[in-house]
Amino acid sequence: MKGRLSIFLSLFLIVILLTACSGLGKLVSGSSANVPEGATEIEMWNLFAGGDAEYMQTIVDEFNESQDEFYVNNIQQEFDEYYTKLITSLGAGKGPDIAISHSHTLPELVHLGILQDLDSYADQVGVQWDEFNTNILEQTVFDNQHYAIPIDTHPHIMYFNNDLIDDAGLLNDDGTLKMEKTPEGFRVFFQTLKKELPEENFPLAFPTVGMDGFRQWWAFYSQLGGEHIVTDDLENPTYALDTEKAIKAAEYMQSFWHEDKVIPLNLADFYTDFQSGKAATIATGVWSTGIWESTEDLNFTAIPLPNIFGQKGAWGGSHTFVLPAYEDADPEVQRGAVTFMDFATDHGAKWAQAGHIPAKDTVVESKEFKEMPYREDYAQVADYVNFSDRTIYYRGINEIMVRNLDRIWTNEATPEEAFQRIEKEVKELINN
Amino acid sequence: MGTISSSKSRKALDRNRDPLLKVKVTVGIIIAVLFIVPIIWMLFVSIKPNGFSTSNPIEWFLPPYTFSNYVNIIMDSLILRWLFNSFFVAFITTILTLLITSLAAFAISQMKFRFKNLIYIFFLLGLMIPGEATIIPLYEIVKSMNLIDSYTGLILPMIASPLGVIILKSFFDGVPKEVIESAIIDGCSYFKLFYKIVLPLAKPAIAAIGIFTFIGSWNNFLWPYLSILSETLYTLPVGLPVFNSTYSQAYVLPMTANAIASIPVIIAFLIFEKQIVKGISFTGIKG
Amino acid sequence: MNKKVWIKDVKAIPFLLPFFFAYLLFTILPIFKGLQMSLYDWNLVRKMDFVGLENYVEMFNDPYFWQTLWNTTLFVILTTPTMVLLALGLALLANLNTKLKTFFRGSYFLPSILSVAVISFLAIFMLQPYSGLVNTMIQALGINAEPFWLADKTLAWVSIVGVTLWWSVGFNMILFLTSLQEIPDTYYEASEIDGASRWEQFRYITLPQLIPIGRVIILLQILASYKVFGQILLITGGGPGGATRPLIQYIYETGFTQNNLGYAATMSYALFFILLILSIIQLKNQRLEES
Repeated sequence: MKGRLSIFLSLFLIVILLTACSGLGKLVSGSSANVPEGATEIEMWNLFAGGDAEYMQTIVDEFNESQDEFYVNNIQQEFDEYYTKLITSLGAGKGPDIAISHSHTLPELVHLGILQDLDSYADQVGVQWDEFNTNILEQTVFDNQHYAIPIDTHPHIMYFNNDLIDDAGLLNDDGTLKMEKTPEGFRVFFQTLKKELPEENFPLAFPTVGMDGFRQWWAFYSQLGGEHIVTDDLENPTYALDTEKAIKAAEYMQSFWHEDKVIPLNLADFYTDFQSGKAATIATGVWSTGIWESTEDLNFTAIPLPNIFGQKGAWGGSHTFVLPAYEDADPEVQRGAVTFMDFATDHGAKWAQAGHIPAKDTVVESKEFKEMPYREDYAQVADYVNFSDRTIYYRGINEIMVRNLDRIWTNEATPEEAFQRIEKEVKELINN
Repeated sequence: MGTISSSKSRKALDRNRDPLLKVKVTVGIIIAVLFIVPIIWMLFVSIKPNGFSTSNPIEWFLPPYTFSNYVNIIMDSLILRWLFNSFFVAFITTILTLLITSLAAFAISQMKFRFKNLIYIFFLLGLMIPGEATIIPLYEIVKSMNLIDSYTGLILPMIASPLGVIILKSFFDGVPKEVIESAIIDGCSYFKLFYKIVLPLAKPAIAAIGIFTFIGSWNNFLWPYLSILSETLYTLPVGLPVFNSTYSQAYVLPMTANAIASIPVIIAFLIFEKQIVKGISFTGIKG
Repeated sequence: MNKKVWIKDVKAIPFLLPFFFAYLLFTILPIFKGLQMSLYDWNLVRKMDFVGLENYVEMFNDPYFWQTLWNTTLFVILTTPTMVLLALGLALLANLNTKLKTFFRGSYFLPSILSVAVISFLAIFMLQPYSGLVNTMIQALGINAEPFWLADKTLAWVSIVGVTLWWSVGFNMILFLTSLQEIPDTYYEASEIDGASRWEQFRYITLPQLIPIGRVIILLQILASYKVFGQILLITGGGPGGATRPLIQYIYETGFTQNNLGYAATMSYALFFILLILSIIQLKNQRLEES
């Protein structure tokens, strides 16, 4: 045994040494990046998981090249556990210098006291607050203090595979869809697709579990006139779901899987299904536009989710930059962080390449943005997005909604049962 | 274990008497194949060209093959670093566990001091304390020591193994009294007695506990999952899911990552199978 | 005389101290720290208000606590008997007198050395609908079905139990195997002379000899299964709809995702007592074996 053990150990050591010495990949990258001499390193955490991560990296690279005072080290974190990790890290005093947060998570982060307000640095750096879309900016102000710089709005929309739609005879000559914008018309559109398409294709790519079902439901609920789950009270909201509309929206969605069977159950990767030309349509966020654009032979159209229930409504979120608070924060690092935020929002057109709608009105009105295909087709959605209720309980409520709605989509619970449970659970959550 | 002399006669008996032997062996082979097919599949998928997908199960195992995935993953991901972390943490944990448990076991077995029984019973209590159920307060304690997100924080909470003390103590108890006494008469200090005489005699127990601790640490999931925040400090069980989460239907790259994580342990297993099996039967029965 | 005793104490200290210190800090202290935390509204950022027994009251009224505790218990109920039977069966196969002996033992044990992350992702990829290895195999055999292994409640349990058996049966098999090999051959030889059949030999010699180790395995298995977390988190994420979510996952989510460490510590205490009782039973059983 002794001989073998020493042989094995020395083999292992040799491998480790070889890889470590040659500096293969990122093996030895402690704080990874090669920070240029004299520059202050600023660590940034992002949660981008769609096709958008690389566009943020481009902006970071441009910033690092544009000056030599600061160096932003952009680290991509796993989307699912992002906030858990962010809060855990900041609680342990070991987090990043800049973080990305969704606008709807801001109330919780501010309430926990782990964010630093931006006002003094924003003045120093010269952030032009009046250039931002006011609807989005409002989401980032608490007690008259700015706690975040918004980057974008990202609504859920729909994409169509033009070739498949055309094959099914549902494309007008001007490129629009043969679809009546009513609840029935919308269903008939997909039923027709199912009938007309070859067997290996299917009408709509959409997952059976997870956030997307909630987003789609929220859009229909908003179109029906529903506004809230709880009231917009930061710390003491009350339950405000319009149960009748909520059930109606859920029943409508459920029929897509179980009655009309236009969405196959439990798709493992619905993005790939659309990308590979298997699915004729997909309902997802604007962050995917960049992915479809860079897919060869994918001839597609982007449109807002049709307003079929009368009122304009859509689900949407907003990415923002935030500045974590530390007792021993280095003002130089924090000033650099805000400098980068300002730079990134000014270069929002780059970010729009991923598909997002930039937060600065000045960017949306710029020639650079207007010349990009597709984005113009859905940019107006930003005006009527129904943002999630503004409360510190957002993540908890969201978890309850997703878990219970999933039971409807998988046909394990009726919408009535699910919303009874939602009411009970949400009330328990917000009364604690 | 069965004695060698009689196993021959057993064999003869079996041949003569078990009419079902062939059936049993066939069943054994079928199950064995089922057990290793997923692992072999993983290895085959890992050498398929990136992006390959098929609905014909046989095609996974057919050429063309390529090793470029391995190169890509080793260059572009932190997998080797995680492999190193897992190995390093398991190695140090094992060494420290062996060190402190054998010291304590030696004191309890061979030395005379007050409250010995009380102290031993106090250590024995640890057998009943499930680490999983105290992990939340453990997190707070390690956090207040400012050790979250560090190797030290990953290793130190895992080294105080009461089971190790118990097994080693019973082993040390078996060291002949005369050996100890004559050493003491020769003026041997306790430390010398410990590492020159008692420790070498306990080699089998130390090997067993070592293997057991190493495997346990290698596979530990919950604690690194909670206490490590930086990508560069991930161990394999924590890092791999993060890596794989970016792929849900692309098979090839995640399988390559899994293969890279598994090949060293498979090789180690093939080399040390006997010792591992012994280590498990030794510690498993005790605890 | 007194001085001599004192010197002996001092001599023992360097031997005891390292273990004592680590043990006190990381094994004993968390028990008391947990008690303190369970009495507070305590989050990841800071300790907040003292709330007395409120967390305990909440726990008894929390349907998800009971549901996840039941899920964990169900996992124990499903895996323990199957694990013991499978381990025994495989040990008997690996104990056959054939040239394949080491091959059997090796292949049954091989999955056990793989990391939980690896076996979970193997499982996910194999069980995926429409393109996974299992479903395509089923279809290649001419069965026209598309089971949703991880999205259907019952099948999700089947999958979790199946994967767990495959992954960890090797450990128990080896314990059985060791015991099998310790049964003296003279027993069999003697029974041979008495004209016992193979079945009678198994029933009256092998099985009784395996009962002590069997009892150890059952208890170890129950204890280990109550701690289930990794493979469920990674394979089903506790889904579908929370149907497979075990208690430790709920504790983790409460503490870290929902940022409520106080309540997470409270539920940990419940788990603590369950495991404490089980390990006391296990230790008693072991005493019984030894005496």
